[in-house]
Amino acid sequence: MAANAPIIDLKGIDVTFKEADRTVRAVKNVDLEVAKGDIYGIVGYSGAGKSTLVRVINQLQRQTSGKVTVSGQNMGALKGKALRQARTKIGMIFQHFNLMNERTIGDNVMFPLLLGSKLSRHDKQAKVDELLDLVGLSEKKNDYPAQLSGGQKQRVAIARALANDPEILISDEATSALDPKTTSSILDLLKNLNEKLGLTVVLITHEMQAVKSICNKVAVMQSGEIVERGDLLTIFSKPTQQLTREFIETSSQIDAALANVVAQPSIQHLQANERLVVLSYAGASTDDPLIAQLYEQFKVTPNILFGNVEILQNTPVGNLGLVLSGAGDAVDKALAYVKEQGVSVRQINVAEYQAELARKAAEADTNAEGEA
Amino acid sequence: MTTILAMDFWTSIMPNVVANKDVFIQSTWETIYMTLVSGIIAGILGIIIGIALVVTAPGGILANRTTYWILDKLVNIFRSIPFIILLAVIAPFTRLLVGTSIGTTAALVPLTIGTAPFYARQVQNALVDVDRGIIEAAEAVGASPMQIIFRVYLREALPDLIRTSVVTVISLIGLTAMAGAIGGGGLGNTAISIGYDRFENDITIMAMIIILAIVFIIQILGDLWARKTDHR
Repeated sequence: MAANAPIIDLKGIDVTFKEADRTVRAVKNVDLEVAKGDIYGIVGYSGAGKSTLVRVINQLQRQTSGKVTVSGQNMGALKGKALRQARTKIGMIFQHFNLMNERTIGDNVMFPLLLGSKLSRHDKQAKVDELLDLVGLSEKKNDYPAQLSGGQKQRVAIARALANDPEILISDEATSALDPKTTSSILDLLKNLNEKLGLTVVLITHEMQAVKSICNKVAVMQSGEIVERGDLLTIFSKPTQQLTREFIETSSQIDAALANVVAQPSIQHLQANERLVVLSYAGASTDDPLIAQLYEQFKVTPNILFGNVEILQNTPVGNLGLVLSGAGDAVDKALAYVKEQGVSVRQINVAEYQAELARKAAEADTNAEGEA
Repeated sequence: MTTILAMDFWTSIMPNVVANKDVFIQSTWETIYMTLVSGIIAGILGIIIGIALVVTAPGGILANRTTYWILDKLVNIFRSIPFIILLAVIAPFTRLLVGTSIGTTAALVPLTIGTAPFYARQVQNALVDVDRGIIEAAEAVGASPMQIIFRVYLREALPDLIRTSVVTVISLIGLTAMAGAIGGGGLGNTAISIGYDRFENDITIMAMIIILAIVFIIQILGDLWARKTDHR
């Protein structure tokens, strides 16, 4: 394997499920490259094909077509013992932890070592102790999973996933069943393992918040396809797809702020020379006195409605909701200037936005009924 | 003095039981023998078939449509035959296997064949209840199908397997009561051929009491064991 080859390389992956009356194409011609040391986030709503896609990496799901290369090995060609051996180098954690209820915490972590590891009994015990120490649960060794909280169970699952010293860890919605505080502690642990052990992490989630806090790269999935991908900052500051924007807005609560704003009578009756815009910017542009420039250069008055700044990978990323008002085409000129400064601009048509909100609410209700 | 008085007491309320003490000792032993031997053989068969049903079922770790279909139908057929008919129907097979179709040992064959499919279904139900995610996690760390069967399925389902085994043994004790029809002896036979047929009611009642005692002991021990192994 070349030194700079991706540790995970998926090429043209298709996964089709045949059911009695129809075939479902869960993953459609997906290419994905994950470099060693990446924390790669894959975001999408449920049913987007994320779980199916990541299961192709360790071949828990065989692809219908396409090529899977992990650490230089063609996974699709592996069978039986060789496949099981390859799987020991790919750890996996799950939404519902999947711990064995009838084994103690120590025995759960021991489990992967009982399957053919050449370590002596003493070394295995030492390995279990070391792993439990790593996830901070040494004192729970003789407890059973039922006695642990969700966050603790996920830590045990992480220790188990690391027992065979994998190079890759796949996290399948691992924080989705946890409360926000526990979620961030688990994410911190993953980040820590990534830095300390050089572990490559593939993290699937429907929460952009999780991606935002630890990933360096993101792919957004919809109906079996990756619709947008890139490094975290680019995706967050310059999303090109509607779905990506939705995820970002939900995670930074811009959508909630906008929904509030458009409900205001003063916003619903904007004058002809007034414009509702959301400015998104990353890095250096946050330092410039941009808002002051709007007035000084273009005599455009910005009325700030809401705003937030987040730090992603040590870089500030901000969103600002404004109503701009100015004479003639001053507002258009001002916005062109803002764009030149590397700030992305989204103009919002209040009536259309409200209609969109109503449509989505109705859709969500239908989905909820469908699931119930 | 007290012993004689107590003896008098029993003789007065259960005269026939006291007179047939040896019959009771023998038939209790026959019931235990039939339950134990056929229970062990049917237990092994049932566990093997139950495991095979779970792993070959669609979506199982060794999914195989044909094997599953055949096993599933066989289990259904044998479960559907009333035991008293099974006794008669498989008599030639019994003779082939143990040399005779009459007696306690001969009763072991239909008892085993009558119980194994029932137990297989119970084992299957217990194993199917093991969370699919736990199996997937084991596959993800590189466990082989055999390792998954022995180290995950049987281990995780142990409390349910114990409960299920208790139910099966109790139903097996019920079946041994019918073994009298082919000269298998046992407490059921004593209750019918001596107690009922000769109108010696105390014998019928005593046979029932002993069977109930055996059932209760098994139930209590089984419950204790299941609770001890259950950590969910």
